Amino acid sequence: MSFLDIRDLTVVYTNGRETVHALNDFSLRLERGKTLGLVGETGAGKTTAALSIMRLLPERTGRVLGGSVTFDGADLRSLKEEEMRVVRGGKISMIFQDPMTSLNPVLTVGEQIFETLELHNIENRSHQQLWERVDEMLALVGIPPERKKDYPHQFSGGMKQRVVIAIALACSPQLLIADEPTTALDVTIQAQVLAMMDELKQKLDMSMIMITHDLGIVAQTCDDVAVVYAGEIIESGSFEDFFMQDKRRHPYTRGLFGSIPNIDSRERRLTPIEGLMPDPTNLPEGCRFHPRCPDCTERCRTERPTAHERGGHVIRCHLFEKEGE
Amino acid sequence: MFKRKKKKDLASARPSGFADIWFRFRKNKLALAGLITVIIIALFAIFADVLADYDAMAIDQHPEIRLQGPSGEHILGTDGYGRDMFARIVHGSRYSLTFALACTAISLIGGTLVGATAAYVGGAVDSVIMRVLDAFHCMPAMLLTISLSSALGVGLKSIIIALSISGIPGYARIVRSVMLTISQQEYIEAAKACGFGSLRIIVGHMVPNAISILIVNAMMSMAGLIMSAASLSYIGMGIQAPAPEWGAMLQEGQTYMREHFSMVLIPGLAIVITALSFNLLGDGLSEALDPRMKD
Amino acid sequence: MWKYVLRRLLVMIPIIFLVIFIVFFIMNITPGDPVQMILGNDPPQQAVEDLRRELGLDQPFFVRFFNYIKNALKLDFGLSYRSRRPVFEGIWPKFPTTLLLAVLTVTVSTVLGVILGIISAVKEYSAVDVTLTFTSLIFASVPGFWLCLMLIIVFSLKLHLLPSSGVGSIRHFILPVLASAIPSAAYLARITRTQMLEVMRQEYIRTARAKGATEKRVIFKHALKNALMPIITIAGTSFAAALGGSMITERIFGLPGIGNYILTSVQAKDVPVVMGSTIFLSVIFMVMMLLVDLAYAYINPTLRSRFSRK
Repeated sequence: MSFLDIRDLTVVYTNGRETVHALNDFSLRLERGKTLGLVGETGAGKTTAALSIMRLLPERTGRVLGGSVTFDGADLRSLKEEEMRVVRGGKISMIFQDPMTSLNPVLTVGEQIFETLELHNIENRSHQQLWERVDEMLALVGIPPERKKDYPHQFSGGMKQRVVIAIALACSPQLLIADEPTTALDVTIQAQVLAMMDELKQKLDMSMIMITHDLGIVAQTCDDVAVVYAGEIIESGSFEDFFMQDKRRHPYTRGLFGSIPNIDSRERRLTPIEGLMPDPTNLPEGCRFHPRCPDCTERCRTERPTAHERGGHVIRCHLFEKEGE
Repeated sequence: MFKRKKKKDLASARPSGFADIWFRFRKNKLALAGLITVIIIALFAIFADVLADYDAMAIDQHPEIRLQGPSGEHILGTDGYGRDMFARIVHGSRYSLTFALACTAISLIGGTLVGATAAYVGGAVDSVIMRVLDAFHCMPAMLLTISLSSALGVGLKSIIIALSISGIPGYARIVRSVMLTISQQEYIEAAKACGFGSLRIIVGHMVPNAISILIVNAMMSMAGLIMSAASLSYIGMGIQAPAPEWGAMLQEGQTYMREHFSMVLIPGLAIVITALSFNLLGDGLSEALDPRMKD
Repeated sequence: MWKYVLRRLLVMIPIIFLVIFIVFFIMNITPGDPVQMILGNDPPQQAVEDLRRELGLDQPFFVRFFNYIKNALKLDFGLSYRSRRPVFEGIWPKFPTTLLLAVLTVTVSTVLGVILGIISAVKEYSAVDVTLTFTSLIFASVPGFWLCLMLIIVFSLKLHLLPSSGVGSIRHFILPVLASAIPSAAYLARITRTQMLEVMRQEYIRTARAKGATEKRVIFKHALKNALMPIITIAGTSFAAALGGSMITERIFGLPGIGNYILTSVQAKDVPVVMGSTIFLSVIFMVMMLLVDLAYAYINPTLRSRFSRK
């Protein structure tokens, strides 16, 4: 069994009147020490997947209908709340999209890093030792430790995200889920932060899920890639499967990769995918992608495709059915 | 002086079409109940003379039937002078609604004039107006009202003036801040860039934006006005007995509260129900006019 | 920081002058002749004229106004028409009662309001929340004086548990404090609820949960401090209001406080007392608002840095 193994996870949001089908039979695997890029358009369900792993879905509206999440041999969905708290921040950490809002404005950054350490202080270290660790963490993310007494508003966006990373990594988690960690940052800062995350990942020997809609980031940091569309993984495989060949590819991925400019190709114009993501309250019959698919057949309209695997490269599309035989 | 954070961006509260507002309002059952009750009370006030003759039922004293409990003839019983409680409550609604409407109208007009002047003229005029508003703000509101009504003498007109003046600073502040906030919005910049005159900007953009906020505030303040007016009458500085004003009725009624507590219960409930209806209505309106307040 | 406080104190000066002017003007148009009030009916003509001159009533409005200001700067606010003693000699003895009432009221209402508001927010849309929200709406529609009467009927006249008027023991304060605290607790609960819900939606709350913090810790350490700001303003304002605005409550429960004293003075047209106490209460209000802003800065570091720069 993989280090992180998500099987057929189904999540809905309800507000009384409407039901949003956020995740539908979502399956994902991640091996120890690897970085997985989770790619998809806004609203595809990337963040929902991350929150489901952490069991942090909005209490009132979000509901897991089925499936399993196994992490390091433990079934996360059946853990008690207090056992889950040990996992959160201790074994699995999460970085949220916007560093501007993900730090508490009334606590110093030192206090916020310290809090994580204090919450997961299994070895019963003294406060002084914990504060030493705070200094260490700040140094690790490239912030002078003296600044631990400063408040979030005194930091720039990039520096805030470094603090957020320091909080996430303080307890040396085994898995880091980064939800678009650089989207809110300037391009130059993006590169710095990404490079730092990659370095720290090697240093601390973590696994990582990098949620992004930026294929450049995927190319730069990921070992494996999974593409989310309308709440399901439509294609997953290794870095090579995605970036080194272009024959065996889901029509959506083909479109997605077509929508970034390629210096090598002579193509002058971008080829964006036509249409919009389906309304998650009213998903289409059959293949979720069929209304936008250039290769749509009659069967696609009625029958939902299953996942077809070849050498670890999984595609959920009728076109690839015969290959497996 | 740093500004306190506004609960929400005043200026971006854009009203949408009337149908949308009504649709959202209708879904709020409490607000609907408030609206219906307000309408019923208004009907009572309008048809008070049809329901009960003012002089015969609400004013003339009948000592032989004083302090009776509810009966078929007097559904709310009679008071210490043998007057029909129901007739007095019904006629009292006229006072309360008059206060609420008249004071709100006067404060609203006065406040808008003052606030708009401050925002539009700006400069020294604005500073002076703001300091005066600050001065009003830091005097205890009830004390201001009581001093004013004592200066103006007892009676309907003086209460209305006293309460209206006390209400002006609040509206003036709202109007001024809405106008200033809106004038900094990008669509106003855009309108200016398109060469629209200032009158057109004020009428076309500022007024519609300010109106929804003012309507909500006006609704909410009606409840407060009804209560303040009753308080004034209760301490003898408003409408005087034997007029069937609810506050004045409470003042008369409290003599009997040991034995006949319905004398203070009934007029009090009349005030609470009226005020509550206006509050519910105001709450519902504020949600319907600005749907973002609810998630 | 001290510069800021000084600046705020300086801003108060023109406002105080305006307050004096407004009250002076209102009092000036108040009908009734103070001379007649002091000397009673049919006084000798000579005495009337002497008193008129003594009180400065023979002077025009603005002369009297500037004389008042001149004396006020020397902290001389004139003599009460009724007692013929300096105004503040009448006010000070009433202050402790009012202060005690205000402190108790604000403490009870803040503690009650904030706790209920938090419960409401945490259990959003539950039966508890709906009940609390509706109850607080009702109390927002209950006139203070009627609540006083109702409390007297229930707790004094029917249950014979508590005294309905007078002073003497802390038990005498229970009903007045309840009467003033319940409506403001209801209001505070509503504000706290809205604020908490707003804060609980913030990203940093999710960060705190992702750290593995308990729900209790998330609410009290991360959310409450952020939600406190408007609560402090309301508590501050209601303290200032309780010092001057509990006139009717003090009157109904027969408490010898400032409010009751002012009310009697207004009704007796004792102009110097009304003027003096209005100025006094306005100054207290402004000082309270300054304290509220300082408390803001203490709680919210974003504001703190902004105003230390000033």
